[in-house]
Amino acid sequence: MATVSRPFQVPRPISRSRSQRRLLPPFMLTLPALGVALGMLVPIVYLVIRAASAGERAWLLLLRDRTLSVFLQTVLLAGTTTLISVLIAVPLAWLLVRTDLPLRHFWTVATALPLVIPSYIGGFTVAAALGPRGMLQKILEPLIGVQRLPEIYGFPGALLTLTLFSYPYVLLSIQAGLRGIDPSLEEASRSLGHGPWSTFRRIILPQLRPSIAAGSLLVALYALSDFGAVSLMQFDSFTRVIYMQYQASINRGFAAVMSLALVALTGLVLYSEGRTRGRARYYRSAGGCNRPATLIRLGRWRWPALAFCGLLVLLALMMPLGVMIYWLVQGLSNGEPLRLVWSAALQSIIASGVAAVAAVIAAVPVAVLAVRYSGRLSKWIERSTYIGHALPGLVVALALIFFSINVVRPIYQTFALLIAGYTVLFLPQAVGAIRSSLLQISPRLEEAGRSLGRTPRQVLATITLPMARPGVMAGAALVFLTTMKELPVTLLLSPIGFQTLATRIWSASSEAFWARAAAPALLLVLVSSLPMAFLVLGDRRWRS
Amino acid sequence: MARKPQLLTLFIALVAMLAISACGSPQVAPTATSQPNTGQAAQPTNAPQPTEAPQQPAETQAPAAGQGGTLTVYSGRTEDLVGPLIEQFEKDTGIEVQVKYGDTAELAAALLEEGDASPADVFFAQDAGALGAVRKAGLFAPLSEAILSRVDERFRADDGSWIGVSGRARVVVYNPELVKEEDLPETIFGFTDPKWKGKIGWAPTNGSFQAFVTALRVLEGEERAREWLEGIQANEPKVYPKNTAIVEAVANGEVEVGFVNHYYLLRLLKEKGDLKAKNYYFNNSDPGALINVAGVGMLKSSDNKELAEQFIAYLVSEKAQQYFSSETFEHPLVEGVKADPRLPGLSEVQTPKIDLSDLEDLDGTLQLLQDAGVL
Amino acid sequence: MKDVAILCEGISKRYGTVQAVREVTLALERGQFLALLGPSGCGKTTTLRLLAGFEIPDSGEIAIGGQKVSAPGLFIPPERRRIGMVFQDYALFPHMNVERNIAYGLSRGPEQAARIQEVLELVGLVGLEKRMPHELSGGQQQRVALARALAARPEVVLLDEPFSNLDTGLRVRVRAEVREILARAGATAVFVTHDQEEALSLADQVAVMLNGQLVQCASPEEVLSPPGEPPRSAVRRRGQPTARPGLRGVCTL
Ligand SMILES: Nc1ncnc2c1ncn2[C@@H]1O[C@H](COP(=O)(O)OP(=O)(O)O)[C@@H](O)[C@H]1O
Ligand SMILES: [Mg+2]
Repeated sequence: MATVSRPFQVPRPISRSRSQRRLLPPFMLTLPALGVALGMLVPIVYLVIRAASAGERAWLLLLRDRTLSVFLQTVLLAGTTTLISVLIAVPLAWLLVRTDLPLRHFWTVATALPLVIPSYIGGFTVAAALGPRGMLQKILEPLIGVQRLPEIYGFPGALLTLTLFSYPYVLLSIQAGLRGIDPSLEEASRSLGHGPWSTFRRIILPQLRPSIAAGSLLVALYALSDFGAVSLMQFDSFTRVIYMQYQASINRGFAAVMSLALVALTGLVLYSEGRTRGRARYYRSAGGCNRPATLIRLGRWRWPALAFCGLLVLLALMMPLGVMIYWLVQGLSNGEPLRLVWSAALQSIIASGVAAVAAVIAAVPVAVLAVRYSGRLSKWIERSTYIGHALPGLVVALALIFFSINVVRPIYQTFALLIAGYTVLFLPQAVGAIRSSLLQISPRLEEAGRSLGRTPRQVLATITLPMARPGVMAGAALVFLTTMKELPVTLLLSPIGFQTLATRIWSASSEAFWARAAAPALLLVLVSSLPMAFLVLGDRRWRS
Repeated sequence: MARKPQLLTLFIALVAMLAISACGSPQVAPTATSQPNTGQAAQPTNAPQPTEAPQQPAETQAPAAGQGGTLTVYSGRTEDLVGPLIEQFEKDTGIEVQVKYGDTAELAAALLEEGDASPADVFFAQDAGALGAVRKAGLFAPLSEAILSRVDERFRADDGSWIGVSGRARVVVYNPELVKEEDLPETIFGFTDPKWKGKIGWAPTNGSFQAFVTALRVLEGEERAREWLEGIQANEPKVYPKNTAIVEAVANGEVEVGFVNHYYLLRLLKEKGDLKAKNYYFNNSDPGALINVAGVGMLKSSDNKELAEQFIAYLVSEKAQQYFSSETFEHPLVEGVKADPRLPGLSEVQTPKIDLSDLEDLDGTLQLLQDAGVL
Repeated sequence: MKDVAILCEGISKRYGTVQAVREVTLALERGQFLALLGPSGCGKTTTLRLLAGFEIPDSGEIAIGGQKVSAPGLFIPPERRRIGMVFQDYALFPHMNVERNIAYGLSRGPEQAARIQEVLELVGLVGLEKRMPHELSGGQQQRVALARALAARPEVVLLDEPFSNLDTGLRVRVRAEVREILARAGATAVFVTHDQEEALSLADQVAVMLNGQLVQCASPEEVLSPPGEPPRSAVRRRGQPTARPGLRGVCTL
């Protein structure tokens, strides 16, 4: 028998410096992730440069009382929009994923579709339909003699518009989270004497926390950066004030100062979301594989459930579609030709598709780093990707113009720069989706791969990414859908002559050619429906 | 154990695809522009009067088609408005025009960022304020006298850096079933009378409205302008996001009168057939009778100044002016071109005496609007 | 000196303020079966993960099959250590069927299919190649995990509480089976358990851990009838390592 012996030693205190060696993330993750983070800082650098040259007056403007009121109003709007979105999305997601709601697949697609309606169209249709003497009033007048409906402009209109067209972010996120929860947890809870409600509250809801937080973050940042809804509804948020500076006076300095204030606000939002993340782990810790959960029978409750879904779809989907169809029909009957702008549709699809791929490629290292090698650096990198989403598209576009003109002039007004712009804007959607998906994969699986002789890169390619596929696909689909309707970056950064459905809609609607705007708008919804259906119905592969 | 990971291959393929599409796009783009236009190409050929080539100036004589060259235009006017006209220009001159459409102010901001590196040769703006801002940054090259002289002095920059091509009059749109024309005041200040309480619609965020307030400040002084704003504000006007919304609100009786540009009513009439709304023009140099312009300037950084001037000359040719008159319902600015029969002639409207270049001080206007609690 | 499959010298690992493993030294001959025994939280899993290369020791050295895999300034990643690991929750890839799970550690080639059949026979699962992991019973899942770990003929097989997910009746049977399979495969194995009976009945050597330290390392017989205080109580009485200074932290085989 071989002997390996050492004299007895009193275990010496292990010095701090030697201790706690960690597995360092491989360079193939860190480098691209750092590159992505640096790219995301371009808008900030631009804003700082512009603000520095803004002159004293811009900074004085920032200190006015009005800035504080704009700040508070913006926080109020973003906060309320997020809250109501969550209140809609949580029960809705539960109905769609865990119950036997009639026509479940239909509702699943229909309730997610409002995401594809641009806020500059959605806002108009809300105003046209629900305005004081809008279409609803016209319907109601002969019935119950309503002369005018309450004023919609201002906070209520902005809140309604933003909520109706951004709650799907939380909905999608929660649905994915619900599908990832191990049903045995729920079964365990039931077996321990908790009813469905108590189980939902004590087991499901806490498990959903990261999904709710991730979705809420997207809604909140959307509300911060959106211009369409707040401008149509006349609500003074930061974004509107910033746009007004450009539109009324092309005052880049003051706009930059206000944008930096918005960035600070975003930092606050990101910080508070970071606080909710906690240290819990969300992958299954024991017991093999996920079985599909059994559906909960709604019984008589299906009627209120159906009413809830119906009302939501009516407001968020049928109403805008109805208004657009009305415009289209009215235009056609007045001799407007029907312009189905297929070539613009095609360019929209190409640009959005490439943007989705680019965003996913950029998001994977960031998300893997954040989930598997959590540390200060990876956290900063991940958080930095959210900046672009909170800035108005116009600011991002100007920043990229500035950057490419001064640093990489050959790519100015090329397709590549356009895609870079989309990536800066929408990267967090991909990062968030991939991240939540990674959180549900046990690191034991990756270790198993390593123990079987595979390198980290091979494990990433053969285990992690295939398993994170629902998240990768969801991220890609989200980026695709939001790029489809993106406007300011498309207008300023695209190669000359590049046209998308969004620019067609804008071109017609900004000159009030509603009939002409309706056809591309309907086409946009139509073209977006397919990836949306895929997004909401597709991620249940090896679960059935 | 060196199995090739398939996903990596896929990734590389996708990256390659991205790169290819990035390089390929410049070729893709032009084809795509021309396609949506083909449907509209029929319009402009009908619209303008049979070609009577612009007489003046000499260099604007249409060169032989196929002479070529490519011109880059940043257009703050949408393709729905000016696309057919630009296409007609290409046909007539053989010059290829690449157009970047966008919001006027955003394009102006982009031009300021681009500076000398701008790929643009020409900036076609929706309003004089944006042109003023670009001029202030020293980015415009002066236009030739031959071009400038086509248009009345009132409608161009005094230093010749830009020229107006079509007029956009400020008017009051009213619902003839609710108010009679003779009850409308002679001056814009008449609307501060309390009898208009709750009956006015306006759009304070609209660029044209703000240009009007700037004119008011220049013409009447800060104090009077503030008084007017506060007077209207005291009448609790309904706020709308855009001019069209005002016209619609007037037509359906939501409000009785609204401050708008003249052409929105005409466009809505074309789309909807009939509306209960009419335009009312002020006169006698009242600030309310302001006529703003959409205009165009040539960039100093352009390497294509000859083509650029040719393009600008085309815009003030009779053919183009006729197009603006019949297609966008704006006032043609060149003498002798007929406006829409529903519009008064420009010479009939006594516009206030103001240099439109002064409208670039929108900064102060914004300040005033904010101080008066309008924005 | 016979073949040494595993050799650890003074390895330590700390998480924040928790000293999970402290100065552990042990050696294991090829073909032997070592049980890491100790109460929950005493550092068994961490030790195993240090051997596998999922964690980097703060200090100490590890050699597997005579090759140094971890030392100050040296770290061989898990995939190059020639180990096979069976996880507590099996960690079967839910998106791959049985066959592909097993093939995962094998290089592609003509021998691959044969080897899969071989290990499937070894674990007695022939015919279930196309099943997905969720279509298997707990015992079957475990045997797939074992087959997957054995397929590439690793130097050492590491098993983390391999039987804790099985019910008692099944556990005794599977235990014997696994022992049998490992013996037939001629594998060297380290398995973690908190069950003394399991350790004593299966292992050639038993290493007793307490609070991150190795307190005893001996054959089952010796552990059962020690010269000093019985180790059973040592395991039960937390925080009180057996008073056998000569053996503390050192495992001599
Ligand atoms: N990743 C980790 N971070 C912090 N502490 C850990 C971690 N893993 C294990 N520990 C701690 O180290 C100690 C040993 O854990 P472990 O090796 O898992 O014990 P066991 O013997 O039950 O397998 C425990 O106190 C545990 O809390
Ligand atoms: Mg353990």
